[in-house]
Amino acid sequence: MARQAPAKKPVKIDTGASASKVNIKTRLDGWIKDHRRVSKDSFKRLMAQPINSIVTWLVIGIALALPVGLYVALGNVQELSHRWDGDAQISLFLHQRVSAQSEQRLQQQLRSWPEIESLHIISKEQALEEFQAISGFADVLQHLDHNPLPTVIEIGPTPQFSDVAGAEKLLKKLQALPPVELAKLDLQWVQRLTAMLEVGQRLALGLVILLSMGVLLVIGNTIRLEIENRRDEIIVTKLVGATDAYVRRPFLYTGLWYGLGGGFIASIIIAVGLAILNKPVATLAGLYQSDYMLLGLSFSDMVSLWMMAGILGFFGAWFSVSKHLDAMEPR
Amino acid sequence: MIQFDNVTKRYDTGHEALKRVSFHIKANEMVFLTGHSGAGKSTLLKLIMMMEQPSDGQVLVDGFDLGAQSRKHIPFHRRQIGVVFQNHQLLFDRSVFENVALPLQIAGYTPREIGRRVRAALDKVGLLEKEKHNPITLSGGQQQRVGIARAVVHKPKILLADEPTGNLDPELSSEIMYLFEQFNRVGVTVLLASHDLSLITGMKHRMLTLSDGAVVGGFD
Repeated sequence: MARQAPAKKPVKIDTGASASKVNIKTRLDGWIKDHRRVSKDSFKRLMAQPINSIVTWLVIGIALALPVGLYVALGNVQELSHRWDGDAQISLFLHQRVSAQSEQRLQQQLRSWPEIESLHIISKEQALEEFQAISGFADVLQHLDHNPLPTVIEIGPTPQFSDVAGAEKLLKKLQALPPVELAKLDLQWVQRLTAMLEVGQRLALGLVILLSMGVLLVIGNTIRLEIENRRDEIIVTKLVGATDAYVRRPFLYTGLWYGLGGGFIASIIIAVGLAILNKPVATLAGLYQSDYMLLGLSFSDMVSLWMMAGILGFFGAWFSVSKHLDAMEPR
Repeated sequence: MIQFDNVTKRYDTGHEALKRVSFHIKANEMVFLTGHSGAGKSTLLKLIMMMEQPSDGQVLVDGFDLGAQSRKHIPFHRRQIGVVFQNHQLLFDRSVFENVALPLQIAGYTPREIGRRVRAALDKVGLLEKEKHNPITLSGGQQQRVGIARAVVHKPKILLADEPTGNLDPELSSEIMYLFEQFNRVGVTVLLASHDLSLITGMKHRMLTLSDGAVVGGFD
């Protein structure tokens, strides 16, 4: 049975009586089938011009890979800073003259403080050994008549005292202890890093907006050319009664395919970039005695990247279609 | 079926293509629209197709005032009409079958129904064996017949033709005319614009004559 499109009130269609009997399910079924046909058809059209399509996909992919790559980089820096942020450490450098006994006493005293979670002592001798091993100054140190290194106590504050304000309060208290020559809290770099991260995030956001607009324009322009190329077809279909939605549909799908393909290429670019960087980063991390591994895009990140790209493609096509297609009337 | 009441079409350039044109074509009628080139034949057909809006007056198709219909209804209005153009307007990126199937596809017919109707239409114009060909490989007369098949495949109430024999030799022309008469015989209202008087005077149908945008003969 024919599924005639809904005849709007003022127009009678002579098969209208039977058409109106066609139930919604059949009509919906036909609509879905048409979408399936059009989506397949527009994909085939892209594949029929592989070079053009691949170039467009690459342009979109590169434009998307830039901001997304920046986000990935920021995510990694943030992850690193979190790692260090979590165990904000205060180093106490004791006076050279402090006896082993008073060191012992100090240790016990500190252990009783509720602000302190962990405590690690590096004795002068340990420090010297370690320094000799890794600094490469072993020969020079041999010539010194006494050990110039102080005893260091590394203090890990409890979580409440791990933030900037809490750690600074604790620092003051520790600095006031007589055996302590210097109490050092390395928090300033964390603050600086946080500020820099914020700048970076703004930058990435700006890039996302600009490059997304670029993607919209690229897709819009590509679709405009496509519309020009299919002008005859559009006019003929309009003459035989195609609705605007029907005429628009293949172009919107084309935009969607461009976007999705571009998003897919962007995720490949990022994956390849990460693979290239992973080894040097691991080496670098090793030099800092860390086993840090680069964070990539999770699967859900990737899916949202594809979706974002698809949506961009769709809307790029939409703008182009509403600007150029609706104006294309048979004359 | 098609009624014009004092229809004037003035273009932005100031040119009046139609001047207070009134006529009435009844259902099941077959009417020839004649006149010198530039007399307003194409404009008149375009008004029926809602490709143009009249500057003044009323166009009624099947009892409905086209001026009262919104842009959204244009596609549904056009689905009741089949059109044949002088330059046939076939798409060369697809087969004969797909060209003829276009109106059905747009109206949402099932593939099975499309297959059945397209073959019936192609059979009627004698081109069933060409369904898989690209229309570019066909002769001018065959292309025009494909255009006719496309115009009638969805069983329109009205069939419009703008110089359908303009590019054809006399023998092919009368074949095409015979086709239109056949469709008229099964109840389709046919309005056919042609300036080929030698061809149409021999056929016993009303002739609506336009001259400089005004009807000068055959209004009723």
